[in-house]
Amino acid sequence: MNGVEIDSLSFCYRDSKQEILHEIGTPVEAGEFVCILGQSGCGKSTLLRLLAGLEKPTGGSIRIDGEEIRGASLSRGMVFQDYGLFPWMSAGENIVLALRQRFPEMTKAEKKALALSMLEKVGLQREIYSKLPKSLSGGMKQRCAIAQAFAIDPPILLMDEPFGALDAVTRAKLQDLVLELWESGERSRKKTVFFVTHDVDEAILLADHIIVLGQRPSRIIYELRIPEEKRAKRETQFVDPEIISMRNELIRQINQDVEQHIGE
Amino acid sequence: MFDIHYFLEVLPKVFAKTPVTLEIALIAAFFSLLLGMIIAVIAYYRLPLLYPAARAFVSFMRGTPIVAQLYFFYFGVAVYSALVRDMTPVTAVSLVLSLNVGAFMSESIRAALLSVDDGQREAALSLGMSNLQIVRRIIIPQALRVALPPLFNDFINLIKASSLAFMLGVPDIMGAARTEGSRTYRYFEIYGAVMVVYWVVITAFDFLRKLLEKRCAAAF
Repeated sequence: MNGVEIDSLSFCYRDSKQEILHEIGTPVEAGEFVCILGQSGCGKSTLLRLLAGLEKPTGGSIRIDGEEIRGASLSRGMVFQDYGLFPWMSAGENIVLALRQRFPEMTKAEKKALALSMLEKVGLQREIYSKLPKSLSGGMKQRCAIAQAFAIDPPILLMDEPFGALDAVTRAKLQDLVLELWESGERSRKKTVFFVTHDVDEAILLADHIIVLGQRPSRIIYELRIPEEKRAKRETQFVDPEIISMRNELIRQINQDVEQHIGE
Repeated sequence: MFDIHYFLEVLPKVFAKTPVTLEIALIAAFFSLLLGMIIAVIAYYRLPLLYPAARAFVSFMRGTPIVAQLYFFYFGVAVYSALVRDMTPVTAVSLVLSLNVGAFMSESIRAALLSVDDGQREAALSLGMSNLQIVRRIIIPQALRVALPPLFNDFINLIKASSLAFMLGVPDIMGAARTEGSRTYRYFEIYGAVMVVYWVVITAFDFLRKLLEKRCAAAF
């Protein structure tokens, strides 16, 4: 379950006539890792915010297992590029806060234990529990945000350029971590992930379903489903001819769209 | 010539009236904070009908002198209202100060509410929090830290503005000074002492603010 049906979805802000998203439609199967790829300002994040329920569509709909979404919900966890952690609470307290929302029946000790085990799972030491976000590096903060998102174990996970502000090495490590957590899916079935990025290589590495959004108004200009056996691997991502031609095609599609809009 | 002996004699006399000043200041601080919060929330959510009314109130309170407000209320409104005529001066001053400083505090609080990033509200929403929970758990803890310095400023102004109470015959610090002045005419020493007392009182509160701010600032 947790398939997502995006159906001729359109969106524009209340006080503007400019359409941001134009009739976006695609079925997403449960357990898919969807990368939403596109240039800055093309509406990727807006699409994610609609999926999160933070914005209301002005046309079309998003249905999860046939049911239209209404407002934000714990069943759709969100990892933001920055605001993920509340700055006046320690890393551990942030995770506990999320757990308190998700599992109100848990005791304090249980929540703390689960938070600690999640921190460990994302490769952080137990001492991080009591550290304030400001004293953590960008990579550590995102690890915490990922720990928080996986702790509440939502069937659908939304990630808005979560690694956009990280250095290349940290980014690669966290990509592996997210893939590992997604593939293991031990506490429940595999999550359906929507991952916004402007990085073609990141999309190729992570996704088994890539949606390329064009510009003004944003619509799907290219879509790609990658079967399990053809998924990219980090070691061969830049040598496998099939992956390279996939990459070239993605870049060609994006450039074509960009050229069409130059001088507009 | 400056008479240090008289200065030291008058200083405790004036200082002895600090409780009266503090009584007015603290009562008014409580109610102005309450009023300020209510107005700030009205402005923050732009509640229909209430918002324009609140704006007009704030504009009026900020745009007219306290002395005029005090006289208008205690002597002007009293002409038509038995309630105001029967009011003790302390109550009247506290009330006017509450309204006046409440208007200022509402602006300090509103600015603090606006300082909380919208991204955090959204993060909280996606954690499934209700609007009320977001206000209580996300907005207030952060806005409080931001609001503290300007609110303390408002409070300091409130303490000083309470000195107007003597104009209605309240025996506060200024009242004691006036009584003393009409007896000895040594205004230099008397009002010198008055300023020293206010300065000491406000510095004491400022010390409290520093402690509070230090405790609150840890996360940022």
